[in-house]
Amino acid sequence: MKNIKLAVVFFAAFLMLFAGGCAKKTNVITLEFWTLQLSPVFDNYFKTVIKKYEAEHPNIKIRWVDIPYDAAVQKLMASIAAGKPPDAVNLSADFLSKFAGINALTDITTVIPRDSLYIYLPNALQSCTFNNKVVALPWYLSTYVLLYNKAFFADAGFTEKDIPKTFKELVKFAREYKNRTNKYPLFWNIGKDSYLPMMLESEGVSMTDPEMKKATFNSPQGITLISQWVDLYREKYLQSESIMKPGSSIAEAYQSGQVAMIFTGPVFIKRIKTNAPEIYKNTDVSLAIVGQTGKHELAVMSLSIMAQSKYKKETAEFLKYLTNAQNQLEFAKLSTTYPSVKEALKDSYFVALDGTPEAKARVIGAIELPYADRLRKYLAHPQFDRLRDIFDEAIQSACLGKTTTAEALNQAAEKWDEILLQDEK
Amino acid sequence: MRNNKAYYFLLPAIVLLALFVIVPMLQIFYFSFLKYNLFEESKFVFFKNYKLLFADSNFRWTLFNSIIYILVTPVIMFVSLMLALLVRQQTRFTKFFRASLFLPVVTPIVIVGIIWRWIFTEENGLLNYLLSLFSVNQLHWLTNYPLNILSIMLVVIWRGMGYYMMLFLAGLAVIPREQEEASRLDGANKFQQIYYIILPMLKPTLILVFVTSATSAIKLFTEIYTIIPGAPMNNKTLVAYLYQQSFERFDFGMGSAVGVVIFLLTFAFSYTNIKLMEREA
Repeated sequence: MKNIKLAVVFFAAFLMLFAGGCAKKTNVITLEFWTLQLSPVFDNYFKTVIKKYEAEHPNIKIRWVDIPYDAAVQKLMASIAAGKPPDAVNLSADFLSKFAGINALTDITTVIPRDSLYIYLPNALQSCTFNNKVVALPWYLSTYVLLYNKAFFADAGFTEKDIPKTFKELVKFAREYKNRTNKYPLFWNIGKDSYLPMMLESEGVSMTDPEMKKATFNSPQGITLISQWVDLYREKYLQSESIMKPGSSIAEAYQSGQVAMIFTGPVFIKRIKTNAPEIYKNTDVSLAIVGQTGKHELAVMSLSIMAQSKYKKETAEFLKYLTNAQNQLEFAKLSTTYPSVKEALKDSYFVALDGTPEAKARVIGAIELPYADRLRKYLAHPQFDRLRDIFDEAIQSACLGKTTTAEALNQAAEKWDEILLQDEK
Repeated sequence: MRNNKAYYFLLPAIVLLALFVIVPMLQIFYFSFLKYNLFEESKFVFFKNYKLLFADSNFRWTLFNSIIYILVTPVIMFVSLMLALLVRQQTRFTKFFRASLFLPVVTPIVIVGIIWRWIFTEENGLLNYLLSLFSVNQLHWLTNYPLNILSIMLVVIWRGMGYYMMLFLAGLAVIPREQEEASRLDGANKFQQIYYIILPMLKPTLILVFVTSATSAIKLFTEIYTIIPGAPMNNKTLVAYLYQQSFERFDFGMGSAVGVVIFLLTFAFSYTNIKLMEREA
């Protein structure tokens, strides 16, 4: 009898513990948060930020998952299709438009008052807006600077005042540099993930009309501007693979000493310092190359809440925390990027020069940041990847001499018009 | 009474085959008639995907390129057969040569792609450097169509010859040496031995190698994506086109239609060849 009583007491205690455990568990919300290729470099940062957030919000657990950039679209698509997407995801501008296009992202203003978004730079916030819906919070930013090899410039007889500042000057400089040295001045991908749309927009030639219903890059001015680059390629002033290698190859060419300059974000200086210390020693920084409008591209990394998330409000709170001035400033210092909140940009870190190229790049970039813009506006179109491929293939075709530049652009524009006008195939 | 026990033993394999091969294949046929992209409700569109496919010049080019890649088959068969005949002889170095020739087969394709990209690189690549020693002008191995197709073919041959050599070695192992010896005593030279004795007896292996290498050529993809990833689609193959439709644009209806075309092409090609070779045998 005594044994039975004891067993009943133990069973009751077990039930109470089990019930207590379950009750405790159901109160804790786990938010899944995906970033794009930031691990392992920034592991400490994320672990610390998440730990602090969890300490301040005992009912929230953050499951941080870092995914490779190249596989990001496939992984996210697969997770959406399986009905198990993350709650929050870090997206680049082109990925953002892709997922905004299929209504996979939450309109942030449904969970955060629109008024509270004034803390972000307006141009950065604009990059996160599609069809008047704010589908992401801007996170870390980058803009362009020109990095050049002082020694190569000096060897070729160029001085600081010869550094090109406009695309027009760049074309002229490319010819002059190659004629003097028989080496390539820069690697610039013009036929794969082409930078030419950015150049056109900076020169004031839009890729499409404002309603995004008609291609306009084949205007006489557009054809003239693109022809300059096609001619550079045809006359062998650009590396032959600059029509087929993607943007990631530009750093490779500079680091290996093949080219004298690189037009990229300040973040690349760190990589050059690590991968090519000798090249780094001779690296200096100049202003971003611009067209007639004086505008240059703003690269925005953003944070979105997935439409399928069950915890939109909680996720929004976490994203606000991650993008607050303090956390953004800390991350910007670690990653050589720029914060998207105005408050963080006032920090002395963005105005202090210390004689290193990275500080110079940082300061130049910070000065340019408020004037940078999303130049490649066609990225906002849900079919942007088809549009991009058509444009790239037209440039490749023109560069390889299969058609004239005008013919290639006109044919590409026709295909763009079909896509821009069609609602469904 | 027939003993049906064997079918029970086959059952697990049949179930797995049905589940993972036959059912997905039938689904692909079905999907090819749908407008299907995972995020919208799928819609039956009859032959619209096929119509769009054949209207797309990139599809027509990739179809043409995939057929062109079949030209690799006779070359790879000839090279791997010659290698098999060479390494068939037992010498001190036989094992070394067999292992060396098989090495490209087991080397990960991504590494193979990076290495060959370096070799083909147009400005500083090894191949153009070697050609420059003989005063040959720089060739555009990666950017110029159809030369870039030839570059890929070269890699496919280099990578596949070890595998097919092994298949030929297995085929050669069952040919009785006495027949070759007898023919040698009757005065047959090496070429006559190969032509009149080895090749006829190797017929089953030849059919196998022909069909597998040709279907692999039609399905060529990884080499393309690692060596010329940035090339225009009209320089690529049907599987690359399928990948673009299905996994970059997430148009699974179109992707399935391309899959059906690849299946029909591979099936027709393999069936015709097997029948022709059997008839000859």
